[in-house]
Amino acid sequence: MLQTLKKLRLSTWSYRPTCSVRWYSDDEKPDKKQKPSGKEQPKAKPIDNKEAISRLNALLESMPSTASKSKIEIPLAPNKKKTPSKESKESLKKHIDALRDVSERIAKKIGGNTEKTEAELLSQLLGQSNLKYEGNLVNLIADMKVESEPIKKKEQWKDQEYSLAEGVRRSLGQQNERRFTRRIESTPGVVNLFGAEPMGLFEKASEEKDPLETWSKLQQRELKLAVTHPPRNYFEKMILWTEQGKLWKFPIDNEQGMDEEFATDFSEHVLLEMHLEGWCPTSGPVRQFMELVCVGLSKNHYFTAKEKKDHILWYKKYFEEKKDLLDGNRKIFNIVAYTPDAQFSQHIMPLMNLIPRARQCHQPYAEIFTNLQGKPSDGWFKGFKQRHPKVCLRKPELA
Amino acid sequence: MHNIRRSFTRLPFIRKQTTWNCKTFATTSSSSSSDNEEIKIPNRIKRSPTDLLKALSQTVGYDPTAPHYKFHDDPFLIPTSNIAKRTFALAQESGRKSAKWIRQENWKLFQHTEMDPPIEAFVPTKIYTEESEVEVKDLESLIAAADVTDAALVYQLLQKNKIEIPAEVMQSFFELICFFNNEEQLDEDLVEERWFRMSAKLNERPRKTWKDYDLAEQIFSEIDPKDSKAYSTIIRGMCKYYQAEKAYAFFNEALANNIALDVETFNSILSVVSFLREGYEARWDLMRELLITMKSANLNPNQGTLNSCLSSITTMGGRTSRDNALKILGEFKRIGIQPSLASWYYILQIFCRERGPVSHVLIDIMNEIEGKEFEIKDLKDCHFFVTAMDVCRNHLHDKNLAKRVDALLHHGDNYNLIGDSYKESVYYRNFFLLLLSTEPFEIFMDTYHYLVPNVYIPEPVVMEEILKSIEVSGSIETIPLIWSHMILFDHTTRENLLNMITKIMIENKPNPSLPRQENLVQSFGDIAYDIWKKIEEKNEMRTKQMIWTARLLSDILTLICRIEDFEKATEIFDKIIGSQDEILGDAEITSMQNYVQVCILKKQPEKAVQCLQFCTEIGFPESKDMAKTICSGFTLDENLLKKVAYLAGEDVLNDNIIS
Repeated sequence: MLQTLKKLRLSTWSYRPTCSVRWYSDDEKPDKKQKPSGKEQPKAKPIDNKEAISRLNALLESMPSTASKSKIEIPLAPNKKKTPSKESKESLKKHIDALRDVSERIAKKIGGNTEKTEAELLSQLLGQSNLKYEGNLVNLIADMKVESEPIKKKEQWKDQEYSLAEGVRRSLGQQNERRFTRRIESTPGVVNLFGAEPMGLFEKASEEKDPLETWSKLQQRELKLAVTHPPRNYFEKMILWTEQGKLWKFPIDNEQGMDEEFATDFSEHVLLEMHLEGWCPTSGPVRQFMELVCVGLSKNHYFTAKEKKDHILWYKKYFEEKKDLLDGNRKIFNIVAYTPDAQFSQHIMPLMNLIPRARQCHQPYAEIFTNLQGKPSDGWFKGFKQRHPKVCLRKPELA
Repeated sequence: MHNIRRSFTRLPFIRKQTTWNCKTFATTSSSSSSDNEEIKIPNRIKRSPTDLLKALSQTVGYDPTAPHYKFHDDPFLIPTSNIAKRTFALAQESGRKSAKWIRQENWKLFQHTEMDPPIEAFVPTKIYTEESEVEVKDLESLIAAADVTDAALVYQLLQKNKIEIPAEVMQSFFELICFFNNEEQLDEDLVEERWFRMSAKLNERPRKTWKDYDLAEQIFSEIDPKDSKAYSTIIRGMCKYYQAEKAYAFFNEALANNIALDVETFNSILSVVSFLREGYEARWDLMRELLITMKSANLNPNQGTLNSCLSSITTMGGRTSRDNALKILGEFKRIGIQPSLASWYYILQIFCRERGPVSHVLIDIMNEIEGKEFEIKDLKDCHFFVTAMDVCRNHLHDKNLAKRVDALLHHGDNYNLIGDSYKESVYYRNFFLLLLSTEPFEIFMDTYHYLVPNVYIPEPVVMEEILKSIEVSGSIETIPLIWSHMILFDHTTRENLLNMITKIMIENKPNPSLPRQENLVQSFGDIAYDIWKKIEEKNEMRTKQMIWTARLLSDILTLICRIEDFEKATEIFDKIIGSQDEILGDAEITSMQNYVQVCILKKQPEKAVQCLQFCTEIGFPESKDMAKTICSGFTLDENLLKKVAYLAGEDVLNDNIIS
C-alpha cells in the first residue's frame, strides 16, 4: 500500500519538504520499506484499506495547493535561520491538525498498532520515511516544514551515508536512472534575491574613472577578445576586419586616414611660387622653367605639400650648383622638365654631336655653342638676332 | 535676369505659406492629421564605421540548418565531426598564421608600400634585437599594441642606453607588465585558436601564477617615490595572478603610509580574500573589514566590487554563505548597482553546491534577467550560461528551466557570452542529457534535428545515452538515422557504442507488418554489415586495432542472417571460424543456428556442415539438434553424411531416417 502511496506522492506533490531526503528514500531502500508495510497490512480488511487509500488520496491531492498558499520557503537551505512568521505558523498548525485527524482515523480503521501506523502514515506523507514515531509528531512536522531548528545529528550522518552512496552510483554512471521528477514550472521563485537586509555601508555607486589608464584599456581589450568569436557571416567578418583596420570604414571615404592632409590647407598645395622667392631670378629661362615646375606641381595630386616644397628646393640647390655654368662661363645648356600634363624643354645646352639633319633645326643653338666657346662679342649678338629672329636670346642674360 | 525676377516673385508666397503652417501647428497641435504637416527633419545620428555592417549582419539571422560560416567552402569538405571541425578551423587559421610568419621572416621583400594610409595590419612589425636603436616612442607604441615581450626588451635596451623614460610611460609599462604577468599573449587575430583553446576547467580552484621577483617587482622597487598608482598596479597584478599574501602586504603598507588606493584595487584584494584567511568566518570578517576600510577611504563601490565579493563568498562554505551573498546583493541593489551575469554565476555557485541542498535560486535569477540583452562586463560573465545549464541538469533536473535558459542564450547578442567551444559543448551536452532523461524520445528528436550536426555534435557519452533512450522507448526506426550520424561523427571506433547498437538491433526484432518498420530488417542487416566492414577496414589500416569480440561478431552474423544474405553471412562466418585466436570469447549458438537456416535456404550444405563441425568442436550441447536440422533440411551426399555422422553420432542419421 505504501508503495502506491509513494507513487501518488511523487506524481501529485509539487515539491517535498526537505531536501536531504530527496530521492534516496525512493531509490535506495525499497526492500526495507516494503517489509514493514507488508507486515502491517492486516489482510482481513481489504475494503477498509481501499477506503482509507481513497481518503488519503483526497488529502494528498489537496496538499500542493494549500501548501503553496502558505508561502513557506521550503526548498531553501535547512540552515536558514529565519523564524517562521505567525501567519505561516498558524496555517501550518491547521494543516498539521488536519493531517493528524485523518491519519488517526485511518490508523484506527486499519487497526493493529494504531500509534505506529499513524506515525508511519504521517512520515510517509511528509516524505520522511526514515523517522521513527517516538517523538512528538507535531514538533516533528514543524521541524521539517519550517526548519526552525538545525537538522539532527543522526540525520546528518544519514545524509552523508546517502551522499556517499550517491557518489558511488554516479561513478557507476547510473545517475540518469533517477526517477525523480519535479514540477517546478508552477513553483514561484522562492529566493528573494534583493530582499535581504543590506549591510548599510555605502551611499552610492562609484562613477569615477579608473586612474590606471593602461590597465583599464587592457582590461577592455581582454573583455572584447572574450566575446570576439569566429564570425558567423560575411558581414561579421567585415566588422572584424574593419576593427582590425584592414578594411575601408563605412560609409566609404577615400580620404580616410589621411590625417596629415586634413591639417594642410589647399593653398599650400596650389600656390607654390612663394617658394621661388629669394633665390630664383625674376625673369629669364630659369624663372620660366621654375614657374612651369610650379604649375605642374600645383596640379599634382600625388605629392604632399611638403614633398612639393622639397621638390622646388631641390631645383634651388641644383641651380645653385650650376651657377657658374649659368652666368660665370656663360655656357649654354638645356633644361628639360616633365610634369604629368606638360612638358618643358629649353635648348640652351650645347649639343655636341648633332646629326646633320638635326643640325638644321638646331642651327641657332649650334651657332651659339660654337660661338660661345670663346668670348662672344656684342657684334655677334646683334648678328645672331638678325639671323634668327625667332630665338629669344637676350643679352643681359648671357652677356 | 528673368529667372531671378521669377524667383523673387515666388518668395513671398512661400513665406506666407510657411507662417500659416506654423500657426495651424501651434493652435491645433493635437490634431496632427491635417494635410500640411510640418516636416520634421531628424537630427543626424552619428554612426560608427561598423553600424551599417551590424545592421546588415542582423538580416542574416541564425540558421542551424547550415554549417557555420567558417566551413562554407567546398561542400565536399564541410566537416561533420567534432574533431574534423576543430581541425578544419585551426588549419584555416594556421594558413593565416604561416602567411604572417613568411611576411615577418622576409620583411625585406615586403617593402613595396603603395597604400596610403598604410594598413598597419599588413605591414611587417618592427623587429627588436639586442642591438636595435630604440626610443621612448617605440616603447609607447609597443604598450599600445599590448606586446609584452617586445616592450620588456625595449625597456631593457632603453635602460642599457641610459635613455630617460618619462614617468607616465614608465607607469604605463609597469601596468602592462603587471596586467599580463610578463607573459606573452596570444595574438589578437587568432580568433579560432582562442575559440578552441582548452580553457581552464570549470570551477577549478585557481592557483598562484604570479612570477615572483620578476620584472614587475623589480620595476616597483625602482619607482621612487612610490605613489598610489604604483601601489595600485602592483597590488592588482599580484591579485590577478593570486599572489595574495604579498599583495595584501603591499596593501597594508599603502594604508599605513596614507596612500590612497582606488576602487579597482580594493576589488582585487576583495577577490583574493579566500587566500588570505582560513575558515569561513574569518574570511567573511576580513571582507567586511575591507569594505569598511573602503568606506572610510571615501570610496564608492562599483560592479567589480560586487563581483569580487561574491566570488570570495563562493569559497566560503557553511550555512551563512547564502545569507551573506544575499546581504551583499541587497546592499548593492540599494545603491543602484546592477548585477552582471558574473554575479549570477557566483550566486549559482553559492546556492547550488554539488553536495549541498537543492536550491531553486536559478528560477528567481531567470525571473530577474529573462528577456534582457547582456554585454560583457566581467570575464566570468562567460561562465553563466554553462553553469546555469549544469544546474538545470544536475541540480534541479528541470527541462522547462533549461529551455528558458536556452531562450535567454539565443536572445539578442547573448550568444557571444557562451565563452568558447569547450563551454559551448558542455552546455549542449548538459542540455541534451537533460532533455533525454525528461522528454519523450520523439520530442527530444525534434531538438536533436534542430541542433545536430551544425550547432552541436553529440559526444560519444551523449550518443550512448541516446541509444539507451532508443532502447527504452523502443523507437527502433531511428536506428538507421543514428547509425548514419555515428558514421558522420566518427563514433564507429567506440566499442561500447557498437556493442550497444547491435544489442538493440538484436533484441528489438523489427515487425515488418508495421508500416514504420517495413524496411527495418533490411537496413539492420546493412548496418550490421557496415559495422563489420568499418572495423575490418580500420584493423587493416591502423596500428592500434580493435579486438573482435565473439559476441559482436555473432550479433552481426545474426542480423545478416535475418536478411538472408548468404555471401555476407559467410564472410563473417569465415572470420569466426578462421581467426579464432584473434577473437575474444566464444560465438553464440543462436547465431550459428541462424546461419544454418540461411544455408538451408540457399542450399549450401558444405557450409552448414562446417558450421556443425565448429559447434561440436566448441562443444555446444545444441549441436545434435543442429545436425538434425541439417539432415532434414538437405539431401546430403555420402561424404557429408559420413561427416555429420562422425560429428554428431550415428543416431542423428537414424532418427532422421525413422522420422
